[in-house]
Amino acid sequence: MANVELVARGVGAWRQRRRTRRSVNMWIGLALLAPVAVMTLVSAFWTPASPTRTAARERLLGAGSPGHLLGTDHLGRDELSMLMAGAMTSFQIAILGTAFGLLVGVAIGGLSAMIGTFFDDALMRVCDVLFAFPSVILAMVLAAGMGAGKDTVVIAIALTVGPAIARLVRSVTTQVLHRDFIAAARGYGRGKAYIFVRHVLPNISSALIVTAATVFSSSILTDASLSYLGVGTQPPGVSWGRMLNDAQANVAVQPMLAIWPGLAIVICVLGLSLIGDGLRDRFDVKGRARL
Amino acid sequence: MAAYVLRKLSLFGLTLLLASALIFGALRLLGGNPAAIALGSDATPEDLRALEVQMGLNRPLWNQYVDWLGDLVTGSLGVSAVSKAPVGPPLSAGLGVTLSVAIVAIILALVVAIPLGFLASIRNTRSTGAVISGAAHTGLAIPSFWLGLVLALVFAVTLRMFPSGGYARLAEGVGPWLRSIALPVIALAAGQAAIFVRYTRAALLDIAHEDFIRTARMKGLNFTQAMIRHGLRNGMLPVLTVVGIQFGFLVGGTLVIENVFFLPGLGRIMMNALGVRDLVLVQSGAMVITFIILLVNLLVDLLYGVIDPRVKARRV
Repeated sequence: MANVELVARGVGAWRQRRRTRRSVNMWIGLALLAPVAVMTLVSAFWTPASPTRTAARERLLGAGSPGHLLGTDHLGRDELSMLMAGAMTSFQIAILGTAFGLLVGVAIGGLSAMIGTFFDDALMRVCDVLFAFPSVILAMVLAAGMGAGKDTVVIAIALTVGPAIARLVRSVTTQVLHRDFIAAARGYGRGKAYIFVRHVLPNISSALIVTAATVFSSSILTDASLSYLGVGTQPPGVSWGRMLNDAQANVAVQPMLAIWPGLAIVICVLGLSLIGDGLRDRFDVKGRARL
Repeated sequence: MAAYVLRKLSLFGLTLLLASALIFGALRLLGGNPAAIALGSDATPEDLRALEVQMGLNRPLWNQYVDWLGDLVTGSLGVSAVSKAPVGPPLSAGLGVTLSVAIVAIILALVVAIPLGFLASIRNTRSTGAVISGAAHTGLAIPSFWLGLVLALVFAVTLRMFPSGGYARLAEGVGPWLRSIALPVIALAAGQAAIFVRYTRAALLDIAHEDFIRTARMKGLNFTQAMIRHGLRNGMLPVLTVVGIQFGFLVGGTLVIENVFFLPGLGRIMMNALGVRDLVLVQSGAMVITFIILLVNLLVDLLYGVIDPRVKARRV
């Protein structure tokens, strides 16, 4: 119905063109992300040097120094190795944050949509409040209570993206609940939990996949800011945000140290968001979690 | 209109109460004992007990929460257990810095983004549109604090055109004030502008196919004129919503970037408070920021009702 209208207005051709452009975007995204992904996987068992080994005599070497392709930081640690180890840290935190965020979001959004009434209103109100919290504030509050570290960042990410995902899950679930096969399942005597798991989840999975890609890229940004502030990964753990913080103090001597981790973040996030957009078009998902 | 405003106001109050409970809960229930974290693992039970008393942690949790609520309602915001001083004055001073950076950044972002979004929408199928969209996409991927670092590196450290840190109050003159916040504002505005460009473009593209644009063209306006005269006002509604939502994220970004440019805003105050485990300062600071963000969202909701009369009718 809606499609007929769109074509009648001549939007069909425009949509088609956009779709081709988006699929090009997806390939650009994959091309950007692939080297980072390979670097991350390699870092699990090999880095050019130890990312945590300090060397007083090799402090702040420039790029291209023997043995240190991108130079060393203020403690003499190899910059390239740190970038690789930092990628691993970022991905770990982003994966955990996204996974927990999805878990929280699907649970709350699903319950809200399936139960409805007063319960629905109450849950959505809590989501609105959490949604108003910048993740930075939440992380600071958490850090004051439980100390800084990876866990703090993961919880802060999960609690801030969770509500956005919950809203999305609630709205797509409500749409699915109006379909005939749900009425059929109800007529057959299936319970709400069974209907949600067997009939709703498979139908909203494409929306969830697209959301996961978006959340993943925003998690990397959040982790970078939080570890820059010192609320995230603690030494000797290596993170891109912490590297930027260290680099700031030595920016007059080795300015490039402040460039590499930032570039790594931009490449990662841009790649992921292009892939997310591509997936959105491939699955033709209309809803979009605001993150 | 009165019913609409009343409904929004009561929801606002309820949301604030919920926010205070969440902040208090996140700080005090999730993490265990802040005194134990402050002292480290080799503290004696006596030391721990003494610090708990000093930090005000020995009283029942419920009492502490109610007392804090009282402090929030009266506006005193509580007394720090670390410095023994009221936390109200430093927080309000910090809020001034944070808000001035955030507000100037959002204005700059809108001023840049709306014309660009407009251009991208009327040049949608040409290279101009593609270039603007691509730039917006890239802008979204750049962490604002890193952009701030790079700007500081180029314009403060190398070219010495701007100070690399510190804050000049507005009372010291508009020039020095603007110079001191210029770089952080630009860094923050870039990311926001990228988001606003995307939304403006999308909103205007939807409108381009509306009947009233076709009518305007039939009456003799060309497409660009029709979009300026009739499209922009309609296209601004979704953008306004996004401004409300983005304000929270922008404030979050401001808190981080204050640490790049050593601006004495709430972000730096709270990070320093974290360092000395000043719980009251952290939780009241978090509450002040949440209050401001929710207030802006309330204003956007009300403004929405003013700009688009259909909204009130629908939502009440």
